[in-house]
Amino acid sequence: MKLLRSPMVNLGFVTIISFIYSLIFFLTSNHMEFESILYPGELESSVLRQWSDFLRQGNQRYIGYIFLTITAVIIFKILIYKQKKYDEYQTNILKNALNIAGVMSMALMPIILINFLSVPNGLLESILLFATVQWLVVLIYEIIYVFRF
Amino acid sequence: MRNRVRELRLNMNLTQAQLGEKVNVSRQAINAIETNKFDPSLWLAYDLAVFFKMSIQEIFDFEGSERK
Repeated sequence: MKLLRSPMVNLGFVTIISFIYSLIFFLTSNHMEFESILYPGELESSVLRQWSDFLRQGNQRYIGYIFLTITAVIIFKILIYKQKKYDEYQTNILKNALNIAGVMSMALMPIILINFLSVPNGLLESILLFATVQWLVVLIYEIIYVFRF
Repeated sequence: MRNRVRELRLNMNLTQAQLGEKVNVSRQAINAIETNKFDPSLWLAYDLAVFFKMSIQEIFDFEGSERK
């Protein structure tokens, strides 16, 4: 809780995670080995099917660009405008963002397991889709947060 | 938690930002306390009580609020 009071901790956390996700998306984009581990057949779920096609075409690099752009805005806003530490109310709101990410992470394993046991394909696609949605939600929350406080 | 922060602040002709400066929190924190959206920590409640020269119980309505 005390750690969250520092805007620099928030900045460091967002930057590191965004950087890792973006790196994964850039490295896997149009990468032959990555494409070979995507499910080769037609997935049953239309969402996963479209997502799989999206990945196969190497479009995930655009998600990387989006993550980096939002993160750059967050970094800029914090470095330029946020000199003081967050107070307890602001820290509490920030904690909510981490709670959302935490609950989503806890829900990840059973959802993926059920998906895998019922239709044992598209596991990688499911994990990447989940990770993308989860981090995008956190980043949107963060950008609203830094502009509000 | 229901409280008298707004009433006491207005009695002293202070804005939310000014009161926030006195007790080292943001204007948003004072607004959230006044609108019962945020329960302050014991230390912030203490700081407010010292500032208004009252006891915590006189500012915050423990009896009339739901225990969390």
